[in-house]
Amino acid sequence: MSLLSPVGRLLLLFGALLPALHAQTFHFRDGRRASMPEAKIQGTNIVIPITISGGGSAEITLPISSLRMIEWPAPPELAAAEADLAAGRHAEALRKIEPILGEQEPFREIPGSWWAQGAVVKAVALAHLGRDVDATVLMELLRRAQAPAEVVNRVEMALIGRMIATGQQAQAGRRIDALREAARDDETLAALAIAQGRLLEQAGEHEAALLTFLRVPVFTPHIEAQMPAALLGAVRALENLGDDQHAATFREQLRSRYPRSPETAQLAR
Amino acid sequence: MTPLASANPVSAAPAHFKLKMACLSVALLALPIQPLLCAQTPPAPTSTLDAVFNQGAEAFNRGDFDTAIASFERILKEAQPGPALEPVHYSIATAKLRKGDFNGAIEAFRFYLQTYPNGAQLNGARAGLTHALIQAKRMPEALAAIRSLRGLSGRTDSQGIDNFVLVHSLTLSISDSLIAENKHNEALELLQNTLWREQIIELQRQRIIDLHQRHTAAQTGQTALGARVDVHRYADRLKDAREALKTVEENADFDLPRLLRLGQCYMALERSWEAIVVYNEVLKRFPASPDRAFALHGLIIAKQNVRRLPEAQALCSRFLLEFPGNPMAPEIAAMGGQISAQLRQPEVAASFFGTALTKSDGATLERVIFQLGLSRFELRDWAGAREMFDRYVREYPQGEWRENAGYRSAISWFLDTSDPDRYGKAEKAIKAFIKNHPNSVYLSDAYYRLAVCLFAFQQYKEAIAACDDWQKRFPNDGLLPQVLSLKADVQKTLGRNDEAIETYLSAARAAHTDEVLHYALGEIGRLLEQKRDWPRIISIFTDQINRQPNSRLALGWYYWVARAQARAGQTDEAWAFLADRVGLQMDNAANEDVEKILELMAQIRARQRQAPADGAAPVSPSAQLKAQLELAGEPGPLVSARLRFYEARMHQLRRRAAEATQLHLAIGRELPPEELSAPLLAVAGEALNQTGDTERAALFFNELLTRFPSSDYRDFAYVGLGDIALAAGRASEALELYTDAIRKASAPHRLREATVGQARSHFALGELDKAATLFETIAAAKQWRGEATALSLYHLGQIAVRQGDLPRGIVFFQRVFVSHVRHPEWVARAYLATGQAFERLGRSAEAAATYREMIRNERIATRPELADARTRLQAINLANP
Repeated sequence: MSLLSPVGRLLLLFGALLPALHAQTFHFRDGRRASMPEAKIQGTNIVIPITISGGGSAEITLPISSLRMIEWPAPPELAAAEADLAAGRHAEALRKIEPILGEQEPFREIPGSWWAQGAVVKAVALAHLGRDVDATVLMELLRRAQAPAEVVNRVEMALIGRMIATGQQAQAGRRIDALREAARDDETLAALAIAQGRLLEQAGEHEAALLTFLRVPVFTPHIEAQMPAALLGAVRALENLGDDQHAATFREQLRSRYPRSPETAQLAR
Repeated sequence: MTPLASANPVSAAPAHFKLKMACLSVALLALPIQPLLCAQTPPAPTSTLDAVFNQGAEAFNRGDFDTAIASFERILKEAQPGPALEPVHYSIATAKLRKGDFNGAIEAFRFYLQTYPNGAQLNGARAGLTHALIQAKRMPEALAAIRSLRGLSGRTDSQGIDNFVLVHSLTLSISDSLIAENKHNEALELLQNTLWREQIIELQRQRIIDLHQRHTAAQTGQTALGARVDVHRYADRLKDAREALKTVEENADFDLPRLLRLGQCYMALERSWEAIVVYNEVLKRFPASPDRAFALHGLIIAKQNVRRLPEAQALCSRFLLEFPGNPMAPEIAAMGGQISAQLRQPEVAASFFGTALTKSDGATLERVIFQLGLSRFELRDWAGAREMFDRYVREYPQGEWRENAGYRSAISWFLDTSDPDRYGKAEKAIKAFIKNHPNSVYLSDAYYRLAVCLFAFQQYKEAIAACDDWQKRFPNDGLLPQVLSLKADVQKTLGRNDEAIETYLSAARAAHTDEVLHYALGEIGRLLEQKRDWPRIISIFTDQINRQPNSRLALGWYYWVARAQARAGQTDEAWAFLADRVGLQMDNAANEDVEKILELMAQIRARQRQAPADGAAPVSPSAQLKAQLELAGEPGPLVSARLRFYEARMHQLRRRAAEATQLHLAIGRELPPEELSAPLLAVAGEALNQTGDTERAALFFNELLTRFPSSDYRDFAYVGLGDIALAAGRASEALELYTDAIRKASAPHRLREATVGQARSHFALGELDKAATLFETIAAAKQWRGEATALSLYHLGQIAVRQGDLPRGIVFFQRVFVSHVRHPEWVARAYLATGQAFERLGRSAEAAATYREMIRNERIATRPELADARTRLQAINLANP
């Protein structure tokens, strides 16, 4: 007989599972760890098999709420869904992300979870598909899960973009103003500049639109995601103002720096 | 230790754009050197080396860096190597930097960093190294150093950055050096990657937490790595970090220097729109900072570059208001003047230049004096212009514009029509100018003006001789047409008309401006008319038309030809001549001359007797014209409208106003406004308005204003829309429209109506004094005698009544029904108003007499005011049986 107590033996064997770390690993607050596939998720618990020395096996069940963090490789569907979003394939993005959200849902507020990232993709897709209410509900869940502000702002920007596209200019303008007061991250500020620039463009205020679009290359030049839209907006505004010389400069910048962007394709029209 | 200062921020900016940057408030390594072992005041020397160190420290503090370095190097030679020498190495590096031995300082700081990677002065050494690299102009290394520093910003270990403010300061210094070397792209990239104040605060706070944890761990003797750390080092670094945080937290304008440099780079790179974005941001975020003057300055230039001149002008005014004593104020005032001159606002330009004059010196003053002279010249302030030009010539005898100033001063006498002796003074001044500038580019003009003076002195022969002399001196000069015109004028004055005609012809042939051409040909026409030489008129003007068929003066030439033909009894030829010319343009809505030619044709035809051949039904004028124009099929809307316009004009000339109105209404009701010309829109809109179809009338008027923003017929539209607004009770709007008819469109056709409209609008708005002034003007205008007079007198009566002067009001009313019987509306209203005024004065008998007279007046028998008169009369009779 081992000198270890039964619990001690269990702990020893439990700990022995660990050195070979698996892709998904659960870290509990009491310092214990367990990995999949041996550990299984059952509802709101993690069920961990143990081997009893001397023969036999058993399982212990630990609540997910006792997790300190999880190590989980980024689901490839997340990147694929983001790519779909970027390409405007919102329904496809939604289809890809739903299973991931289902999988991550139990770990919504656990550090290391991919739930927030997935929820953002879903919310943005919903906003673009005109399902504003669903997107807003998800945005609120993100806030409650204490997702970073810039993550939540992505959803807000998608909703604002939808308002602009569907002619709700006044409402979009109000939300832009509100978000600008609160936003601190450059991604959001750049996206706001694009949204506001578009509103001004629609209102025929071309100079104001130009100066708004130019805030992106001037103050947030590292936000590449918004740069093509900013440059295209500047080109259009300058053309409307009759300043073809400067329009040509920005057109050339857009072509040379972002030759395959949808905005560059629009230049040809 | 305090953070490093930025380099001297006065950049060697491009000549067109100087920017004096505000220094950052921190001083360069201002604090004294710390003693060997601790950061406190050095204790009393306990050893020779301590004494040497103290000597070194004292030497450093009094600025004797050579002695300080010598002392510290002696310690290095004599002391045992070890951590205790860390401050010595640092002190040597700092002393070399302060001394200006930048390469030496670089070497020393690098040694320190290699030897003491966790030293207490780690951040100071990094900063010192970067600063030394900047000073040594080793920019690629300085850039690499700053990038490497930035790369550490995310690190929380001992190698992380303790002082982000210092890094920021160094970045600005490097950017200043790059700007000075005209490497604006590199400077821009550097500045755009610099942290903002909020980011620095957040990072600095986090760093303080990190350092505090390390300090605490050091104090307890335990660390995560189990290494022994120097409590004092972390205490120093923590103190440095806290001071840095305090610096940035207390400086709300922290981001301003970076933004200004960003703007400067964009301006230098000729990216004015981006510069505007930056400067707008400065003005928005730092509304109270004195340094926003630099942003305003940059914004003015940027706005000029993108041709937003009115905005640039407004910014100049704002600058002078907010920063009247700023050193840039003279330059800004001068810029405001130049912009105003470009906007053709000489009065505003003169005001700006006047301000600049009191504040400027050097090259700016020279330019301002000259430009103020130009502005005054344009304002026809001849004495004021002369004052400046003479000052310029006096103070800048070698100045760039001395010749220009001198000549303008001379001819200012010539141009001053209020001076009875202008020609005498001009002759003297111009002759003096010629003597002082025998090779001037203005000589041809000067001699021309001298010839004019001779003409003015009635020295006719001398004037002709002067013109001939001018032609010899300047045979190819552009002023030839003017000189020839002058010579012809003199010949005409001498009665040598045949010679004058030939000379005018030469002038017309040589003319390259419409002004001279119009003048010369007009004189030819008048002289030939005197001689009744119709064939020659026809020949000359037909020739001119063929030479310049598209000239804007062509219409006037058609007039001459047609009139000459008509005078010669060739009315049909005259009419046909015009019909041929107008036919080509009948479907061109943009050509307003078409309607003018049609009017002339109507005038010619209207004078002819109408005699249908062989008793056949008379052909309508429009049908006749259509046949002449050989228009096949149904003409389009525009041509159809123009044919009707022609016929309507014929009716008007034959006093058949009702038929004319019907044709105008037909144009308005049947034809689409977007197809019509400005004159057609005007007359049709007016006809519609007068028949009460105000909605369609407004459509026509707005179409006119939108499609023909420069048309001579815009006053129809402004007046028509004003009438509609006034009738609808929108008096303010109406007033603006009537005023626009005069100010924007010069009211060539509807000045009377516009003036009456203004007066009525003021009356409706209760602005009785303004209304009275205008009504008095209208009533006194003989050329407007008619209904406008009656209307005005009536309103003057109403104004007097409202102001409580009923007897005066009665006088006005009586003038209406006594002298303006042809205008029943105003006669009836005047009668009624008179009766009412008498009643209010308690003079019932006179009131009754007035009402009875009114009722007896057959001319106003159908007027609605009669009902009121009868009612009032009955009431008076009942009250006074």
